[in-house]
This record gives sequence, structure tokens and C-alpha cells, in this order.
Amino acid sequence: MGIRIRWENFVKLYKLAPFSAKGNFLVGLFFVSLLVIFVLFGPYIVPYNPLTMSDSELVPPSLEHFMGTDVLGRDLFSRMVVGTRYSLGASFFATLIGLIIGLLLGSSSGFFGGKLDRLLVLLMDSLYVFPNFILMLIMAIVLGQGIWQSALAIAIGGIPGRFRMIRSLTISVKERGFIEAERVLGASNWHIIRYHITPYYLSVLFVQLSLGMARGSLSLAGLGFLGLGIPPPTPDWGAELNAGRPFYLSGHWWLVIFPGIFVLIAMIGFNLLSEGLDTIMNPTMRRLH
Amino acid sequence: MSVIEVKNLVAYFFTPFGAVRAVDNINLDIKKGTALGLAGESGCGKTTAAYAIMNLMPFPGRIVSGEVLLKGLDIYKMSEEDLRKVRWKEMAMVFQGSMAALNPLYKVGAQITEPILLHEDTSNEDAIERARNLLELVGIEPSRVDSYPWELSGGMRQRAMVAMALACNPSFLIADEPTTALDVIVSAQVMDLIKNLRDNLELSMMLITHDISVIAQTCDELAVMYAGKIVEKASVSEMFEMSAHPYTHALIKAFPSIKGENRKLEGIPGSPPDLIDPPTGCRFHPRCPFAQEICTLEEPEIEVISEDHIIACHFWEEIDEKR
Amino acid sequence: MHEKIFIKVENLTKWFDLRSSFTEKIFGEGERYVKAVDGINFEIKEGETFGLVGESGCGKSTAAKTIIRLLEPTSGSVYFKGIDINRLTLEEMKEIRRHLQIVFQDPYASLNPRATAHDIIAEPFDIHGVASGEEASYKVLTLLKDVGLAPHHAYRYPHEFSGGQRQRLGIARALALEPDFIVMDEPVSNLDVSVRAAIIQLILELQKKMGLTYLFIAHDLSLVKILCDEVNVMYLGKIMESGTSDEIFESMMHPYTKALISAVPIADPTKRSKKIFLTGDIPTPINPPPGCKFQTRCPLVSDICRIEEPPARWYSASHVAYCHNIEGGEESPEFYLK
Repeated sequence: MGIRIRWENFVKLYKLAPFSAKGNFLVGLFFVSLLVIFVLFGPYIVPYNPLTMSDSELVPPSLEHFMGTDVLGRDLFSRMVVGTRYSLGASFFATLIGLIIGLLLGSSSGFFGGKLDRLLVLLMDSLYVFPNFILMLIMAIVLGQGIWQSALAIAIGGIPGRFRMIRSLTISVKERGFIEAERVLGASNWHIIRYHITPYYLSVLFVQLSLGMARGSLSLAGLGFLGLGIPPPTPDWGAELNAGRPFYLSGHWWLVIFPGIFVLIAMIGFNLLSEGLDTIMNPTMRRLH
Repeated sequence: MSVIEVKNLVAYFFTPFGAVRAVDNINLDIKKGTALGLAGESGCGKTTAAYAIMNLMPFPGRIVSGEVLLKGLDIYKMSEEDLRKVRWKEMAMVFQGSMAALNPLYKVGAQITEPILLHEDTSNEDAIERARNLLELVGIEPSRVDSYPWELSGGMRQRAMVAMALACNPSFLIADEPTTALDVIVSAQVMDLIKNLRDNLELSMMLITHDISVIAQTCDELAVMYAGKIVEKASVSEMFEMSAHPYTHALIKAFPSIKGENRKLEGIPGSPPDLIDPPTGCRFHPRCPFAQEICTLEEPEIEVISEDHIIACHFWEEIDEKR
Repeated sequence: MHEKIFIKVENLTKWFDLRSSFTEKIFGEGERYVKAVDGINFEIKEGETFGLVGESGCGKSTAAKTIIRLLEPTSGSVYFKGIDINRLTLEEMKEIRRHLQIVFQDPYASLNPRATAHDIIAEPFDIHGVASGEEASYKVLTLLKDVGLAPHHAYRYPHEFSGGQRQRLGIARALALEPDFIVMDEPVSNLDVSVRAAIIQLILELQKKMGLTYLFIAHDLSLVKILCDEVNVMYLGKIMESGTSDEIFESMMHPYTKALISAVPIADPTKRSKKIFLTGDIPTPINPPPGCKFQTRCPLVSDICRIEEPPARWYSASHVAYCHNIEGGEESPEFYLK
């Protein structure tokens, strides 16, 4: 007896889902897969080295340079594709850390209650009240520029929300009748958490992960836009946006639009994926007997 | 004088899995000042029958055919305007799980006066006065008009729902499982209330429940429903003395008596049938101890045993003799 | 009559503290407790079916859960075969748990919706390291048969069963560790009328076959009459009357018992019993007034009821009622044991 992710279950749920959910899921999956390909094979499939500067500065999109070049003559397309690795990578790392910490704190708080719970809730609520972006900004300033630092800042920004969610999920599952039955059978707390509560976490895990990626991408872009985030010359969507800003009004639109599009693709892709996934995995329609 | 006449009523739920034949041709006749008990297991269609009579079928249900005459007027032929006038003023319902049917944000008094003010041209003060009287009628202190539903106990909420239903002095009241969620003492109070209403206000009622003993103590007539059909109907005294349908017997035997000998508890094997694809012939045949081949082929016709006593069973005479 | 005393409950209380926060405890208006169980005493003999009845809110479920230490008592003791189970360590308690089991009222809520029937029943084996793998599966199949389910049911999920079958599943799980004592908390109240008889029959058969002792909780008095050897009537956390099934149903003495039994509807229109009506509603168990719990609704209430707790009046070696204003009875059961 254990936690098994059953693919047959997923396929069954998928078939039962409404058309819109399937559509969301598939479109999202397409975009995300595209990004994943960029992450894995980016450096191998781009025409130019993203770091190579050249004399063809600020060239608009052409056959030679799909997305034009930036102020230092670097091919924008190559930079964007390779940058996926860093932008998404940082997001992923941030999301994962935020999730894990949120999970640990939220589940302990929810399951054990008492003073620990009250303390954590107080702490988390205070953080939660902060406008999320300002919080991340402060953390980024404190930690400084850099890929790990940005990821950490974003992670911390994401903890209060995750904590809340996991905590309420834990509490609601904890109160269910069969948990009481487990205690009568002599199950220890650890046994109950491991075998009976964790499956509920898993079902929200995937959705939270992709949702987190969407949020993370945007946040990272925001940080990059403000000059924090990932330092140059590493390609990063937000940093490119920032770099391209002064040139926008003078007609060099591609420097801003294309990074924006990548952020958009990441946002839309992950959002759609998570929405579709959520609807598929958590059918709220009641079956008619 | 008949207050409610139900003629050949058919009401189904049209689901993606098929049509659920919840009410499949029932006939009822409730006279003024009488209480009819509609009994059956859960899923037999009795609540649907109530909704059908009130013309309140929820989606995806629909009235397929039949008539419901309220004092001679066909409800299904009324305009939306007339229907609204009729609802609550002539026919009212106390819903199942009524504890949840009260709006927690409004005081009890306000919820009782709401239909009054909606249907009649009275002042606020008069309406509240009536609400107080109604509360007293159902055995709640009149001062409770200012209480919120959560301040009342379960039994009181149930009685408050009855008060609400009586707000506009209807001629006909449907009570859906009024005692099911209640403790025995409170339940007895509610049953007593129902009897008083019938005796003192000459209110006609339909009481829906799976607990036959409640019907035995409060109603004049009993109709037993199974899988959307009425299998036996008679006056309460006749039913308990001389019922002939095997299902009715089984239902009665499922309720052990608190007085007298320790009767063994007897159940009914099997489970209520699927109403999308009910059994052929007599719908009770898979669970009937007396079933023969004809029961699987032909639906039994409704036979009149005596005045007020009808039954739908191929072998009721033989079964009756064996008793 | 020297039957073994299986379970002895002594002055058991379970109070729930309503003051939720730390600050409320300091600055609040004083103690606010829900005294769900306020001092109950009884003994359950080996092999008997002991009934605990009362209306909702009287504390019977809380009492049952406290007896098997699903809830920690506020005070008092519970002795299982002479052992005070509340003094045991977690380790020792885990061992004792194998002997004390429970079947819950709601068969759906008490089963993990994500686990198959097999896993649900096998889990206790896992927790206690009793069996695993094939041996466990074999035991599971045997248990399924014992409760009237078929082998192919093992791989179904709870929602694929009917209500009656789910309850059978719950019973199978309770039997997995071969307990001596099972609390039946309203086992058939949530089931369809036609299914109840079958489950009751199963419960009785299992008792005979496995020599089980039951604590049967119900608000359906007619069921209790058929099933229970001894019956205790509870009201607001205290026992009002206690005795054998016959004594309670035929020769009840306490006004509450009388009202309760008179209120049960009889499935016979010719027997419309005279119902004793109680005034008022059930008061809350929060900070109840001193004296008898029943004072607010009792037809026999007098001044002393509001001050002093009612004395025990024994009408036989087993029949006792707690009331100031009823006649007869001796001060102790010793009188009848001569």
C-alpha cells in the first residue's frame, strides 16, 4: 500500500473532462513543450551564439536574424531561446523551493495545530498581506543580483500563499471521518500523513507547479526589468526587456516585443496547462446516479 | 371535496445516461382535511412526486404527462403569473433537510413574513403579528421572530419551516421527511403539530417519509410507492390490518415495535432498482418473495379491492389468503 | 453471576474547552466548557451487547470515543480487563487498540475514498505488522466472506459500493485485528430501511461466532430493544437510568425514559400511545446549572433538583434510576444481591 500515481486514472479522468479543459490542457502542453525543448536543446538549435557580439547592431527582424539584433549586435532570437533555460530554470527552482517549504510548513501547521500553528499563521499572514511583488523586490534587493538570488526571492514570495493552501487542505482532510478510523486502528501520525494526506497533496502538486511557473516567469521578468534578477551577459527575458526599453521609442520595437512574447508564451502556456490539468484532475461535476 | 387530484402523472429526469423514470403514472386524490402519507424507500420517486405536484421540477426533470388539479384547476395549464399566485397561497411545501433551507442571514420573522408580504396586501406590522401567531401555533415562543436560524435548535427550525409554509393559509401542505433528521421526542412534537393542523385548520396534507410508523400515527391514508409507481393505497387502518402487497408487508416488518413482543427485524433483500432501466413487468419482482413468471412479463394492473383500497399485484389474493 | 467485567467506566468526563485563544483564557469571562460527558459510570460484561441511548447532543458518541481513547478524557478512568487504558504509553496503547475497535455511523465518511476495499481492510495489518503480501490478502478475502461480501469486491473503491455494503466493509476493517470489543456507533442509522435488517443480522452473527462484546449506540429505540442486553439512557452527559432491556422498556422509572419511550411512533394506527410531552427544548451542554441535568424539562421537577444531584435508586440488582422525585428503590444494589 502506498502512493501510486496511476496513469490509468489520469487517462480515465482525461476522457471525462469537458472539451474546454482538454483544449486548455493541450494548448498549454504545446507551449510548455516548446519551452522545454528550448531549455533542453536551446544552445544546439540556435543559429548564433547568444553571447557573440557583432557589428550588425540594432538590425530589425530579417531572414538572417529572425528577431533582429540587440544594441551589441547579438542575435535576439538566439538570446531568447537560450535565455529560456535561465528564465524558466530560475522560475522552476523558485517554484519548487516555494512549494516544498510551503508544503512542509503548511502540513505541520495544519496537522498539529496548537501554538506552532498559531505562530506560523501569524507569520505567514503578515507576509501575505505584503503586496507580493514588493516582497520579492525587497528580497531581491537584500540578496542582490544573480540567478540564485532571484530565484530565492521569488520562492520566498510564493511561500505564504502555498502555506495557506496546504494548511487548509491538510485541515480539511484531517477532519474527515476515515482519518478518525485510522487512529482507532492504531496508526501513528506519521503513517496517517504519509499514506492518507499526502495523496491529496499530489493531486494539487502538478497544478501548483505549473501555476507557479507562470507566476515565476512573470516575476522574474519583472525583476529583470527593474535591473535586478539575472545579471548580464546571461540572456534573460526580463533583462532583455529592460535593455530594450530605451530603444523602443526610437523605433526598435523588436527589442521589447519579442522578449515580451516569450514571457507571454510562458505565462499563457503554464496557465492554460494548469487550468486544464486542474479541471481534469479535480472533477467537480457530480455524477448522476 | 377533493383539494388535490393527481391524474396519471408522469415525470422523468432527462439525463445524459437516459431518462430516469422517477414518477411513472401515479394517481392520488386528497380530500379536504385529510392527510395522505406517501411511503417508500429512498429513490422510489416520492420527493419527485412532491416537486411534480408543486410544478417545481428541477432541471433536468420535466413533467411528461398527466394532470394535477388544485381545487379543480389544472396546475400545468396555468400561466406563470397564476402559478405564482397559487404557490404558497394555496399549496406550500416543507422541504427535506429544511434546517438548511432557512437563510442564515435573515431573522426567522422576516422569512415568515416574506411570503405574506409578497402575496397579500398587508402592512409590515400585521405581517409580523401573523408571524408571531404562526410561531405560537407551531409551538415556538412568539418572541423568536427576532431570532436568527442558527439560534434555534433543529426541531425548532423544522417547526419554523412549517410556520413559514403556513404563512398564507394554504389549503394544501406537502411535508417531505419532516421527522427524519430529528430526535424522537422532537419528532413526536412535530407529528403532534401535524395532527393538530389537520384537525384544527382542516388542512389537507401529503406527508412523505420512509418511516411507516410516522404515517401510522399521523395520517388518514397511506400510499406506498415503489420505483416510481404506487403499488398500494388504502386508509391507514385498513392498510395495517389488511395490506396485501408484498412490498407493503416488507416495509411494515422493517420497523420493529417498541411495545410488545420482540419481533425479529426483517429486511428486504436486494436494493432499489435503477430507474433509468427498471425491471420489466412488475418493478418489484426481483425482490419479491412471491414472484412468478408473469411478474417478470406483465405490469400488474391497478385493482380496486374495496372503496379506498387499491393494489397493483398479480397475486394479491393468494398472498392475502396465506396471511 | 460472576461474569467477567470487560470494560469498567468510572466517573468519566469529557469537557471541551470553548475558549479558543490564549488571550481569551486570560481575559475572558471565565470558564466555558461543553460538558459533553459529565461523570458516567458503568460496567460492560464480557459477551454482552451494551446499549447507550439518548437524543442527539446527549454525549453518547463522545462517550464511546472517549472509552476507546479516541478522545482523551478530562477526568475519570476506563479499565479494559482491569487495565487503566489512560495510563498507558503510546506503545502500550497501540497494542491495546487491537482489542478495542469501532464501526462508525457514516459508512462513506469513514472509508478512504482513494483506497480499494482490499487496502482498507489490509491497512491494520500493515500498521501492526501482523501480515503482509499474500498472507494479508488471504486474510482480507476471509474477512470479506465473513461480512457477506464477495472476493471480487476487494478491488473496488468505496463509491462503487452501496450503503449497506460500505458498512459491511467498515465492519470487516474493525474485525481485521481480531478485537474483543467493538463500539457500534449508530451502525444502521444512515442506511436505508430495507438494508438495516441484514446488517443487524450480520452484527449478531459475528458476535456469536467470534465472541464479541458490543457497545451499541443508537437513537432508534426499537432497535435497541431487540439487540441490547443492557441499556443506559443518557441525557446531557449523564446517565439517567440503567438496566436490562426489559427493565428499561417495560418497567422504566425515570421521567426522561418515560418521555423518550412514549415518543417512539408505533407502526400500528390502532395503538396511538399517550405521549408524554416535555416542555422546552434541550438546553446546551455549555456550563450547565448545578443539580439534575434534566431540571429544565422534567415534569416532576422540584426545588431540590436545582441544587443537588439526584441520588441513585436501585430497583433490582441491575436497574437504577437517578432522580429525586420518584418512588421506591433502594440506596444500593447490595440489597438485591442477598
